[in-house]
Amino acid sequence: MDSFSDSGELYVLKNQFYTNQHQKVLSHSLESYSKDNQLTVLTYQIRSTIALGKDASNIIESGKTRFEGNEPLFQLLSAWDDLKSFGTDDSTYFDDLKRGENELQTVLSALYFVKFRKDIDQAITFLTEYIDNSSYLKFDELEPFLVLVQLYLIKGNFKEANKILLNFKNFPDAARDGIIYQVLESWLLSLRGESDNINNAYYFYDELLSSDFDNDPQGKFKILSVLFVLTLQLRHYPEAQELLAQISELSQGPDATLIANRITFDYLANGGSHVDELLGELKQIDQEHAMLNDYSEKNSKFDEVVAKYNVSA
Amino acid sequence: MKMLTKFESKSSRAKGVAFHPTRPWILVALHSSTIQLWDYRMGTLIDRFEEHIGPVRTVNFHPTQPLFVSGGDDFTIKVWSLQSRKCIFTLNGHLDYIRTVSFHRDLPWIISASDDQTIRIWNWQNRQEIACLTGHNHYVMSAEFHPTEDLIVSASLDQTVRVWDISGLRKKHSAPTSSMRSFEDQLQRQQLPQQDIFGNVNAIVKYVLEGHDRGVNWATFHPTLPLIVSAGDDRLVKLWRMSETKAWEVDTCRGHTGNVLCAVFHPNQDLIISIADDKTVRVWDLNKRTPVKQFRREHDRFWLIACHPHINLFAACHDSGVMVFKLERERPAHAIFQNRLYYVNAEKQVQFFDYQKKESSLPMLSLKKIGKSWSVVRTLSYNQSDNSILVTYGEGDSASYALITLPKHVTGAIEPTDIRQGEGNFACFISRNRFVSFIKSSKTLSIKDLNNNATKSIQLDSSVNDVLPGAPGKVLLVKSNSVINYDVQQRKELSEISANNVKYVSWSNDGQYLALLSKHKITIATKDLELITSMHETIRIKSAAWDNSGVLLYSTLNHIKYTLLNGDNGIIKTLGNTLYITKVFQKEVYCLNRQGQVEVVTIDPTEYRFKKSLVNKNYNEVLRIIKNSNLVGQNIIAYLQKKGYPEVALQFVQDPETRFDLALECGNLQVALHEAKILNNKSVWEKLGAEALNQGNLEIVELIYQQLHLFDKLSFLYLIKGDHDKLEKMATIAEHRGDFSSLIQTTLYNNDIKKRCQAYVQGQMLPLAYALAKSNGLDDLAQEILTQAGVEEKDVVLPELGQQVPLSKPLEEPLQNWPLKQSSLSFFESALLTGNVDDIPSEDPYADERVQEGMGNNINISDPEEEEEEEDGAWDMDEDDLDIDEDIKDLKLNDADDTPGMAADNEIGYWLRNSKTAAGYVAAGAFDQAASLLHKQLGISNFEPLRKRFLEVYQASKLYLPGIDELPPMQTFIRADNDENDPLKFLPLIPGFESLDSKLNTGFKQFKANSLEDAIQTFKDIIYSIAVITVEDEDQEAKCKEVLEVAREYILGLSIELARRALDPSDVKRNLELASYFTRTKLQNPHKVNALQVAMTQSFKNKNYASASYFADQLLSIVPSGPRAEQAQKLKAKADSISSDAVEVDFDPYAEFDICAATFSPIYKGSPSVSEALVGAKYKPEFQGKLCKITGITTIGAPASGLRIRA
Repeated sequence: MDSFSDSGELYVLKNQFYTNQHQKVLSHSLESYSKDNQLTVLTYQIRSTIALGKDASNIIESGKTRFEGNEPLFQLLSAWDDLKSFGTDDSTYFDDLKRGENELQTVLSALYFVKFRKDIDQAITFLTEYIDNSSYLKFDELEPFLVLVQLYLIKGNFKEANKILLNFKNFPDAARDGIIYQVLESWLLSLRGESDNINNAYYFYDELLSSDFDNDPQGKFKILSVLFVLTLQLRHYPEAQELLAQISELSQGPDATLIANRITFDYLANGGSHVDELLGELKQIDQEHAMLNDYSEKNSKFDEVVAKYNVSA
Repeated sequence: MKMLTKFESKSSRAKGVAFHPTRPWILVALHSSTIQLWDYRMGTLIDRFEEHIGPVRTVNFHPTQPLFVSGGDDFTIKVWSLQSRKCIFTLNGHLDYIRTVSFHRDLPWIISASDDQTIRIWNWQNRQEIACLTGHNHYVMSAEFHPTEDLIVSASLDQTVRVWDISGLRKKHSAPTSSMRSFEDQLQRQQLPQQDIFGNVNAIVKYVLEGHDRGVNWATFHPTLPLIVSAGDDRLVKLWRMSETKAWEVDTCRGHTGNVLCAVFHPNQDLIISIADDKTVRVWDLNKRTPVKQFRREHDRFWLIACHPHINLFAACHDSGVMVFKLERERPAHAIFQNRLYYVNAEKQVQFFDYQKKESSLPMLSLKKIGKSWSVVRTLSYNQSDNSILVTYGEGDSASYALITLPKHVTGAIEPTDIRQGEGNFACFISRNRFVSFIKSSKTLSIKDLNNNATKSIQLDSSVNDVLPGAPGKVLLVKSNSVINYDVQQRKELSEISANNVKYVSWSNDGQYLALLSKHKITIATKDLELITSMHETIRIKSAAWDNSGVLLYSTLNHIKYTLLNGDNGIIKTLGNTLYITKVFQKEVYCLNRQGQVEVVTIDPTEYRFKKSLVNKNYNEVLRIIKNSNLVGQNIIAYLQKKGYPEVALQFVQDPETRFDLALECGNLQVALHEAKILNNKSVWEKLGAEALNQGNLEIVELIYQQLHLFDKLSFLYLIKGDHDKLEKMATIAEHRGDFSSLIQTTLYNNDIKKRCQAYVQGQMLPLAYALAKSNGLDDLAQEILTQAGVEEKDVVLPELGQQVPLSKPLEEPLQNWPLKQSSLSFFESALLTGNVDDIPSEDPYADERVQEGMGNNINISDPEEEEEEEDGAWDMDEDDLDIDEDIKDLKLNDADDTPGMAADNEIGYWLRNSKTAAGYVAAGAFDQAASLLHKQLGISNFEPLRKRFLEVYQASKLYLPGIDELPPMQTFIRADNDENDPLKFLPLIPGFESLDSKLNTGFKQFKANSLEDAIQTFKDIIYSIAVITVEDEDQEAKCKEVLEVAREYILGLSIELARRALDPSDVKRNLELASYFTRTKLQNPHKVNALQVAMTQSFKNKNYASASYFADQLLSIVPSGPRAEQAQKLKAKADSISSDAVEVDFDPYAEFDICAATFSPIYKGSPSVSEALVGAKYKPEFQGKLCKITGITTIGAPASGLRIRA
């Protein structure tokens, strides 16, 4: 057993959770875990339930009775569940939080800020405060880093994101064994570019595919979507086309980001002949997708260009 | 185990063979009576010795002296000198064939075994037989001294092997004056046989080894252990052990199917090698006495096997010659990662060597149990992500790989625990969690993950023989005549280079170059397999490694050599033992030897650094080397001269003669003069004189003429210089010398009439003197001459004197040296000749390498974390996200490099900084900057039509990476070149170039299908694509420009045709004009036919028969046959019969003109016009400032710098 004691037992579960194999997470029986870890397992199972878009209130309730004295945790999970089921109207749980007091609370709050308040900056502040307040920090609690890296990258701040990765050097080796490290590293590898890096990221996901995803098509969908991006980065267009075929076989619901990437692919492989169609689809699914925002911003920028030179001509 | 044949000779039956202890030589004793001396490394026959009568059965070198000994069927033993290559003497005594003969290691003895049933020992110094050992009662087939003790082992057809003690013989001969033996001793010895008259016993039989059921052909001692191996006609090989007191049979090796004629111990491995007349060589495990391997020869029986005393080499005699071979490759498997060399030592254990600390670790893992015993680890590949190694071992169909995790802590050679194995002749990692394995028999390449599960399997071309490591994600496929760079993931052959039988590859440290090694050839190429240079080596090439400056060092069997990328090469060091270079760092070459140990060889890299600096014109470095090293020698001077650097060579030479020659060669007259003064001989002066004259250095020429007393030349020189004073002096000198002819010459030059007259007078040529004086109006002088001659003026009849010829006026001042173009002194000359070398750095720039390269950690580039940290400084320069709009306002648009202050914070930042084209800015989202560029370069003012292209270029390099489900995706990017690792060259992917052809085709199809508006739009789109594009090279740029022209012509032509179709039918004149102009656009021939057809039929219809005939001609010149041609011919026949035009049109078929793209009317040559910058469309002047009709985006006649699309 290495520096953090639960890693051995929870390794598989964490891997499954962070690679969207939620059905598998749910399939674990609490009894098969040691007493110490059962609550953690249940927490992941509740989150997986929510992630699958199901109502988790029953399992939360039964958890409350089984693990007495963990009221705050279940309160947090309920709030998260309610949020997913009823939207922001019902609860002010997250808004009332001043700062995160534990890993899960911090992570979920950050997600809340971004998703419901559209306030990435606040989410970043929230996370960095938690992380900087080292008395809370444990080396096996890496999820805040994962969220933080993504938020930095959404903002295009590669430097800060990369700092986090570099900071992992100060952690025990085992921290870098974990799935979270590998996932966030794969993102930075993609951003860093160059064949070698992208290939490494590619193989990481390619390897994940070798797990059995029969019951978790949404997990496979996600991985294939990431592979699609990496394959395009490598400019392997025929392979990208193959991936699209595989993705469509999964018949998962329409995904905005996938469509955004298909637009790029269409420009590269088909001269953009389906772009209008795809843009239409994207607008229907997610009006606020980053690509659409960027697209309209660039369009208006172009309007300015047109206007500027028309006057001078 | 594998038999690797190194040499084979073809001859008659070979009976004996021996290795020279130090040189690559073997002696071969032939049944035909000849002894051959071969160089087995070069494969050349050095000499032949033919003094034996009849078959020679045995031959052996002396271990230290230049001697060898032979014995044959003529009963004689001959001792030969290797120096004189002659037989020195012959030892006679044996009474039958001699079977074996060899020298003692230190005593001056020879031992021989003969069919006369005796073994004899001879002293080759006094050429006496000193002992005759009897006891065998049949032919003695072999006999040899023990390598360290006073023992002999012999084998006989009497079915016994005997061990003899010859310590008595040594005593007798090493101390001949020793005191008398004690009485008891003598008494005791009296009982023994074979004693001489003094009671000395030469040799006593210590053991008789009985066990063979037939005659024994061979017996030999183990080099270090108390073991004997014997070979007999009972087809057995037997192993015997002896102690001080007894000897016994240990075991038998069974397997040969014929008489075993010879068996030997491997000199340093626990193996026995035997040969037999069953045409096989067999290898046995000494410890288990089990067969390890056998090699069969089709037609030849084997007669003898000999092993090299030090090297893993064997020679076997057979019916048609000898073969020299080794068992197994001796190249220790190794791999370099960062600062460490992982390698397999002789004990088959994995160790690593730390280049920085220069020390080897303890063995960390034992591979003994990997594969069969005696199977050697051939390749090793290291993966840092899980600290594992991938090794291959075994041969042919049984070749396999094993993936093994290394222990975290080195505690000694532990047994591996998790071995993941599989079939494969080659295997290496291609990324941190993938490796490939290649199975030769089925030509399959499998990609596997670290759990040894295949994720992909690729069927390769059947001509692929081997696979070698490539760049990440790639491998090199080796075919017999070529090597292919293969992308494993895409299953795509990226490039190919021709190279025969490549065996190894060495990649440069930065991954930019690779060296492909064959047996005798090195091919150097770029990472994309573009050939740089190749070279041939006569000696086998063993290994290669790159130093940090891109010089390849390689080892052959006996040298370390270097080669530069331009093919200049040379020897750095001669090697005693073969070494495998793993890494070169400064003056140290880190090698592995064949014992699997690291050896650090110190070399002098000056020569190659010097040459490299010269080639790269790094003169500072050249100068530094010149000043600080003792690099001299004919070699380097010859090199410099050959390469055209005499002025550099000059710096190395002290010898005045060479210096003089070099100085002349580089035209350095001052140095040449200096040396000439020292040398001071005629030919030197002459050479210098000629060169000085060529250069117009008259001072030196003058000096030399003076030096050489070339007065005539000197005078002439003064003449051309216009130096009157000197000429006068020359006249005086001539006078002094009494050289009248010279004097007269000089006065001619000088036009000194008076003196010339005097000279004539002195020379008693009075008539001439008089004529001269008279004709030049020197009447007084003339009178004097007359007086002197004693004649009257009237007696002399002079011809009619003309007017005095005016002489050209001499120069005011004498000519100086020819004014030469002020040549700046070369770097060396100015620095060295003036002695001003203060500013030359004297430190070794390579000395800093350790710091710069960070020998500590970053030698291997694949540690991304380290790398990032280094860059952090630059990243820090700008805290916030780049707001593109704000930050690049100041950007100089034409040269982004001029803005060093701008630090890139992210990908977009890099792109902005590195882009040189409008497209680059578009991709970076800096539309405003891009537009400004396009406006300036091409005069684009109407941007709206470019909207689609802008968005395409922008979007094509952006991707959204899904992360956590609840969060928005992250933007990631597609670069133009994923293999580029210099952030200063990161550029966005710009699509469009690849699809130009297909777009053109679309346009052509639309043309054919008469969708003229669509075609015009397609061609416009092509123009827009090229306006916002980035291409890689000149060819692509040229292609784009060509495509632009095509698009322009088609748009123009189609617009004309559309205008024609839109005309009122009554406007016949315009109709005909437009039809005619349409034919003048530069369409492709099949399309031009359409235009001509229109023009022809329209002209014909409208009774412009002459024109119709012209167009018909044109059409027929493109389409000489077919229905169209027939129609044209008919029409032409009819038109020609009338041959006049009813309507006058503005079209002269024979005039050159452009067509105004706005008015569709001719702009005849010489008429004013304005053009547009993007496609070069022409307009009448009044359209200046209007929007171009062809492109729809550019302003006609706007100031523009032109299309700039190169990255």
